[in-house]
Amino acid sequence: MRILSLHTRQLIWRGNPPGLFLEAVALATALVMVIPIIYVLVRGIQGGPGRWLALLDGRIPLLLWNTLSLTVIVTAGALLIGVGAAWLVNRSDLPGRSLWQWILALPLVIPPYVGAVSFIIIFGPRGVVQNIVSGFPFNIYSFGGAALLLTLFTYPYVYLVVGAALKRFNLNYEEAGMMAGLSYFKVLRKITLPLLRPAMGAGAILVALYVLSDFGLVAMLRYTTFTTAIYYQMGSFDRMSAAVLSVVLIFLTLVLLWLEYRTRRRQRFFQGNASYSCTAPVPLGRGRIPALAAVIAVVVMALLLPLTILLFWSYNGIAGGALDSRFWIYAHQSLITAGFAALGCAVLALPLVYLKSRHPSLVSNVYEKLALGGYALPGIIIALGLVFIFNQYLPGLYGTPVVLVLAYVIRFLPQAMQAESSSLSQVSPRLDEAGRSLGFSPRRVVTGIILPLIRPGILAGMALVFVSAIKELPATLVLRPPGMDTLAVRIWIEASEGFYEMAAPAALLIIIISALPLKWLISKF
Amino acid sequence: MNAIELRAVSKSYIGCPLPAVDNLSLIIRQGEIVTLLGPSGCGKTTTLRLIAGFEQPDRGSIMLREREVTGNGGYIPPEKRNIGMVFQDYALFPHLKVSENIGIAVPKGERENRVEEMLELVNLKGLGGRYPHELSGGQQQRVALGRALAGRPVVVLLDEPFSNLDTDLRNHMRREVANIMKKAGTTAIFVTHDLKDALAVSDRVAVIRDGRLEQVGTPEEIYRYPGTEFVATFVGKSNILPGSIGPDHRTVITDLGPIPCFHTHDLPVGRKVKVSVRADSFELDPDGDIEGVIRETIYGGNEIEALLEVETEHGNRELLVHIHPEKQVREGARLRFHILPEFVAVIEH
Repeated sequence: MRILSLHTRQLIWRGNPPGLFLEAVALATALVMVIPIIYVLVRGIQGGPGRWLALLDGRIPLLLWNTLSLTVIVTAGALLIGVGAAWLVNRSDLPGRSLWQWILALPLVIPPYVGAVSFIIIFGPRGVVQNIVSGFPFNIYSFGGAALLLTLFTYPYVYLVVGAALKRFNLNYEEAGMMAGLSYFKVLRKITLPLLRPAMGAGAILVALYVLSDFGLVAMLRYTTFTTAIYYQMGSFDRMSAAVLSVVLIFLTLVLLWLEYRTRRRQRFFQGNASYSCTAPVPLGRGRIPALAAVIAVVVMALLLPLTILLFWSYNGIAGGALDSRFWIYAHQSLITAGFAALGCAVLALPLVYLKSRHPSLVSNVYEKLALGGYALPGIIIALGLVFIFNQYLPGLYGTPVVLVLAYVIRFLPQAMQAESSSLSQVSPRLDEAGRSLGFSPRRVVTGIILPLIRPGILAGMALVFVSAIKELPATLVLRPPGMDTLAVRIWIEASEGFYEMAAPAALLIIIISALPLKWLISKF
Repeated sequence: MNAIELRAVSKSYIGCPLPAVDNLSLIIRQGEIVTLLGPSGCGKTTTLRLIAGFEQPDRGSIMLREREVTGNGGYIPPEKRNIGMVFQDYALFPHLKVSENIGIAVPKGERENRVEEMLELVNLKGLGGRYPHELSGGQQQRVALGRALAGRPVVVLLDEPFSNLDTDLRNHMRREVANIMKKAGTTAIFVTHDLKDALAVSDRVAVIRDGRLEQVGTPEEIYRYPGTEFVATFVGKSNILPGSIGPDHRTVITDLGPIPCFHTHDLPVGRKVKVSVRADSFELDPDGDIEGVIRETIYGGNEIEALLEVETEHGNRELLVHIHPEKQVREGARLRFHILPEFVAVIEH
């Protein structure tokens, strides 16, 4: 029996089985990552035909329309801005393009719901503009408002992915087109854009996935999508309906993930060899000034305006005593929970990443894919799954910070995995073998050779998780212990009650913290 | 004493129909330098990894200094085998200095002395404080060698150690590595697909093909008296001709006529055999027995490689011959050669 199981282990690990302890930790981690989602699916399907029919009759079609129309419009808008901006700064003679190149990526550090706060301050019903021009026609609490703001804060995804593709782009294709007598405009339409389509697709899917999962921005603008509907359904303790709605949202997300998988596969064929590209930028001619104006307009709206307003209101708030001892308690609670999440992710990602890299097989692949589960799915769904599980099986832990940290780990573990795995892929397995041949046990190979060498990757992963956890809103709102507020929660509460000068300092602090690992964020694309 | 003994070792990988190592037996004596030579994918690296313990054989056993390290269900992991390994990419620990790399497996008490000894042995005195990336390719290789030798291993395994070096450095390092090995008195196994590496550094060469041992012998034996057709053509360029043992035991009768041969394995007269005639064995000679027309020439610098078409009773036969580069040969020229007996070998079959 023992020999049989040893043999099958050899077989499934392709003759290279890992230590049992390592595998057990990896398997346990992978399972913890998916159990909440599976639980939500099971409960949703158990919701019963009556509830399904009722929801399918009324709520679901409306939510589908709200969510999908928003997703389509925002994705289209982000594509327009992102591709345009990427082309302008990479290929045209836009004035100051090397400066714009990185300024245009900066809106990535503004969490959309924080950006929303600043826009509510200006354009909201009691906002600055209404005070000056009462009856100003633009209502921020609308589809248009949500679409505009989401576009402004998500276009950097497209911008970065397409920009990276443009840098890799083999200019010989364009030159071949020009040689064949095509005008540059035609080359752009017939050669460049089609070749960039996989990158555009990848960026668009990132944007669409974000819109599906966004909770904070749409909630603050009082626009109802699946995430907000699930949240309010939970608030009224109708968890079964929340689970039913979650099933639909999970399905939508999976469709997008499947599309992403397909474009990524296609992308491989499209990546030409990077040539040394030093061709002169394309002259914009009379279009230079309008192009510059467009870039400035985007930067003003997505970056300068929110920052200025938050700075101004923070100044007011701080003058009015917003930085009281309670503020520092919120900040402290944010840092502690995010810190534990970062630590947890860094530790738990290691066995998974190590198995994938050093014991490649179908099994390690499955573990990895399971662990990625929580990433793409909206935070509200993870929160719902944890509410179900802890209420039912571990009521003693429910309402403690443990659940909150666990939610962060489930959501953000893949960020740590990605950082550690790219670091580990630079460490040749020959180094492990050299260590073994020099008398190191497998454990000492990890502690003495691998860990010191991938330390930058571990730290980068921790920084990414830390920032994501600080910004996280929906799971925090649902799972935080009573009375434990974090910076994100305070922004939400103060802003929804209209105390903007109280919300602004916290918002500014979150932006500052988010900006810290920007270098890693951008180099990921 | 035998440093290493492989007893009928076999290893297959899942998903590959053919075994990577097939019933391989080999004995390597203490202090001997042996090269496993063969084309890529022949199983030589797998053999090395089996000895190191990075892989486990399906059948057979491996003894290191009379101690069974694998076989009969037992398995001693790499870290307990006391082997030294030099990797193709050297695998120096980038976060450790040269001296730390070399001293990593040495017990603390003697570390300092041993590291100094090794630095001197591999001619890196004074460079112990550097990091691997601050060294040239040849220096990195020496560090790898010093690291492998520092723990006084039973055997040092070297996996394609010269393949990352350019030609000049390669020649130099071949000599130097062989010298260091001899000075240290260590047993070593090289793995290479490069004939010159094999001939230059080893006491014995083991030619491997499809996971099986084709022939073992000194470099000279392997070159002069290839035992199989594969060895004859893989180790240098050779013509394989069918024939039978001549009446005087010192010739082989072929359709080119009798070919002088000193290495007939005492086979009976008339036995059908194949004979390997090295391209180097042909010498231009106006009175030679072999006459043909040059069909193709490739100027190779230190020799001219030519294809000679010879008429025989069984039709035309093409022979590969090497001609001294000072000679002027034109394609289409009719030339005569004779055969030197030293590099002619009978291949048993």
